[in-house]
Amino acid sequence: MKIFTKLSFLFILIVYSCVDLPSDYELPSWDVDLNIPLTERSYTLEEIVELDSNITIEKSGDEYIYALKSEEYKKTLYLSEFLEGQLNGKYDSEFKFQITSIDTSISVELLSGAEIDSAYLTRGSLTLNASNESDSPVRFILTFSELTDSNGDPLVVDVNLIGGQLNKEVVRDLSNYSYSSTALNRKNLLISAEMISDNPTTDNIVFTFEFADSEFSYIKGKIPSKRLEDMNEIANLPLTDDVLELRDKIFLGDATLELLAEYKSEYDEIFELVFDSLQLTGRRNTNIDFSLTDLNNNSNLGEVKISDGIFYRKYDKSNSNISEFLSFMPDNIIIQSPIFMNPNGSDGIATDQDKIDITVKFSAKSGVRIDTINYTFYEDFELNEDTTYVENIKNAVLTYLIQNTIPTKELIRLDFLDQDSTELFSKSLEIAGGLITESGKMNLTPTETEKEFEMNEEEISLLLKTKIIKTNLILMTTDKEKYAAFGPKQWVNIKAYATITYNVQDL
Amino acid sequence: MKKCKIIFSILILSSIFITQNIFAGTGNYGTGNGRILGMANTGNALFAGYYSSIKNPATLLSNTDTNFTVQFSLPNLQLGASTALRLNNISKYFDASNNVFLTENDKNIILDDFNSSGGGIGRISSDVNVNLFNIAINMGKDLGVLSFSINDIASFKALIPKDLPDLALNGNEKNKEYSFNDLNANTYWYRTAELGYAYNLIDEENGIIKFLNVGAQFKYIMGNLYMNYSMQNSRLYTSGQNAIDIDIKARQLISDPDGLGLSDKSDNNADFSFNPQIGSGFGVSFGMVAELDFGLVVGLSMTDIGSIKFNKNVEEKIITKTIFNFNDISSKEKLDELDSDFNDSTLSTSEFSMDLPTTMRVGLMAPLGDWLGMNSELNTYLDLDFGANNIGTNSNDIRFSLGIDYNMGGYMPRFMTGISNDINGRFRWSTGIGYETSIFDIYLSTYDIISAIAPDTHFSVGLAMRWKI
Repeated sequence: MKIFTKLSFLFILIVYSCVDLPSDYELPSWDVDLNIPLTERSYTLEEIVELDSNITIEKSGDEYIYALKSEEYKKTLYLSEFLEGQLNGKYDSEFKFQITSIDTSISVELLSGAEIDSAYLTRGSLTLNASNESDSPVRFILTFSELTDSNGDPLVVDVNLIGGQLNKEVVRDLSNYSYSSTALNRKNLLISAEMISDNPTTDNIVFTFEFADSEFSYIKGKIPSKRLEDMNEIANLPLTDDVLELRDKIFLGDATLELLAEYKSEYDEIFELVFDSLQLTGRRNTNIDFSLTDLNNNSNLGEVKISDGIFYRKYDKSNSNISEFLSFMPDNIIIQSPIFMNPNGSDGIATDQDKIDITVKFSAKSGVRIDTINYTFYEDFELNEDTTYVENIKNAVLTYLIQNTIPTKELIRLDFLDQDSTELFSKSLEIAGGLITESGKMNLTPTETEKEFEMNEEEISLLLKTKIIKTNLILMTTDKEKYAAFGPKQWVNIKAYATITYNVQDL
Repeated sequence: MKKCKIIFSILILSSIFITQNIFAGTGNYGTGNGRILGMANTGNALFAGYYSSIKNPATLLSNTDTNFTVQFSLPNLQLGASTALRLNNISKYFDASNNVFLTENDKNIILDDFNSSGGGIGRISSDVNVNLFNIAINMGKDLGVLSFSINDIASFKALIPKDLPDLALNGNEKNKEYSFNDLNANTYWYRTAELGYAYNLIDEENGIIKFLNVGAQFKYIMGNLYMNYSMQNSRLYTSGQNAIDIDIKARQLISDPDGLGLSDKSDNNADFSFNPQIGSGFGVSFGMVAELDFGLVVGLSMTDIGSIKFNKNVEEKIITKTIFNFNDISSKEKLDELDSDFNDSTLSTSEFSMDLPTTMRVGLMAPLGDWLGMNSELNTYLDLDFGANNIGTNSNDIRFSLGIDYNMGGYMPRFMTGISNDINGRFRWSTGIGYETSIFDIYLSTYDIISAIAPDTHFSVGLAMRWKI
């Protein structure tokens, strides 16, 4: 019995003692599927597109849409050419006065055809050629009473001719002379003549004269029509590299070009001005031209008349090929036309400060068609120093769900490159574009894209070697045949989440 | 086997110092002593002197041992531990030398351990009871039994809802809510000075009631440490598109001695004292036990009625964090929200009370040997223990236990066995062996022979030794 009792105790003690617990504890490792959110963000075009002087929002009906507006490209055309030579004229029919005539006058018509009420000469010259047919000396005095100097003294040409002297020439500078018509007929110029001689005879003083190089700073009167030098102005469009990338890829559906010409003068009684046969030509730096035409494909846009000091014309799709013209995205716009001043020969006032300000600006409402814009970005990629958390990822399935009302679809390809720019692996994703409504109105009904891509363990390990991510973005309007409207309230919602198989160890 | 030797050695040495305790302070799932542990921790209706007084103070006075005796024990230590995860699985999966990778099957095994716990709550509990001194003086049935003891009681319990290991092992499943409402960690330490008394009211040969004892224990309690961290209305939800809701509401209540530094209020620079006394309280246990005329014994007791008031270095915090629809890890604002500290608000609590692990106990003992006309002693015990709260190893979940002991008499040992449910709701098969003489007795038991042979979620051993003069 004693042995039995001892054995019983011993058995139980041994059994109790055999709880084989570890001496060192360590958490095991295991794989766990973590469902984590990556991002969920909504963007409106209002947040994406920064407004500036070129991009604005306009109300169209009951909705707001984007509009592109160019800067105002201004050119100035000075009209001083019109004031040149209006006094010029060579009076080469000989005027003869008998030396017995003590005091006489004549009236000659202005050869330019101008009828001047008043004017200021900035330059000009009078050349007098006189001959004395008598044997006695004669003092010959011509007075142009309508031409006065700054002191109000008339222009006087005082010539001493010896007996029998022929073709004595006298030149007078007319700078800063004023002209004021006193004759009953403002077409004519009044000239007084006085001859003083000790031996009056019936012999004559014969003379001719010429006004040359006349130029006015001010002229009032009836000035004959004059064709000025043809306009050939170039407006440079400062296209940025970003905009140039869109050339031949983006097409404007509802563009307009506005042409404004303003006659600037300090006087109200201005002369009429006509641009005849206006042409607008877009020219790229590669010398490729594209003309703005009317609906009949005629590049001669007709006559532009500034009669009340202003001319305004708007070229849009109802009267021109302006959408194609602006979609051409020229580097320069060349404005060409003959210019006719005062085509009807009317009365008016002109000064040498008169000018025509020509303003060109264009705009486009958001009817846009985009045909495959391709962007490529390179971004350096570097994981944090502690890459353990990436190394422990065995698999990742990324799901993205995109709701889009913006009528562009995007194809995105991500190339993961090593330090030698060698492609390690790549991933592609596609985002469906928002609908384009038949009416061309802005769409706010989203399309949905839900796709997923998987990164296996090998690709995740390659991610650790990635130094550069090359992103290739191809963007186009949802339907390349249709023009899409863009508005600030259009939005895209991007939601992405992932299921990651993570190896838990060494917590 | 090295560990086997260590544990074996500890058991041999502890047989010298570890004896049974006579205090009742372990709730309905607390570890019993070697006399009662082997029969499924029954004893509400067991006349076994102070072996059974842990269950019912009235049993201090035995119906057979009526002479004047003094029973005492040396200072002893009692340890108990229970875990939701089976011990063999701990060995299998957490041994550093194994370098384990958990397969889906392994995960299911671990989760099954938690899922099979009561209410899907995994419980990890341990208690340490140190009897600094105890003595019981049996003055005969006319005067009753008087006992006195001084004990240190420390307990730790963690409740882990099954959603937590599920989340850790399987990740956050879509469209699923993980609830952490019952997550709780609680620890306390207090010292008691207990005075017990049992008295015989009826002792008749004939009659319906042949023997009736009543008993009570009175306790003066010195609180030394309390810390509780609990979560309410806390959850994590992942939507079908991985948006995550996090809602955490937690309450932290601490009262700790200077030198321990658990709360912001305690003085970290102070020297730690083993008798800090940062709270005080009173408790009482009482019970009755009766033997009916056909030998059936009925026991009824209420143990540990009372509370401890902690009033030093008290710190109560409400900790919250709510993140709704976290859907963007690329957003700095969202990440900042995730990384931000928990919102905690410290309440102006200056004192609080901790209830003792009050338990109502009912027990029956049937003398099968007598009824069957056997010469040897064969008794069976049926106990039901109702925890009034969830303090320490007490639980609102009812503990059922059925035990048997068998003693052939003479020099033969006493054999014990029984079945019961543990704090995690699992079935336990207890067994034990004892040897009794006129001057001393000794018992060695385990609460679960299965886990002893093939370690399961529970490990306990009860060794009891009593000197009788």
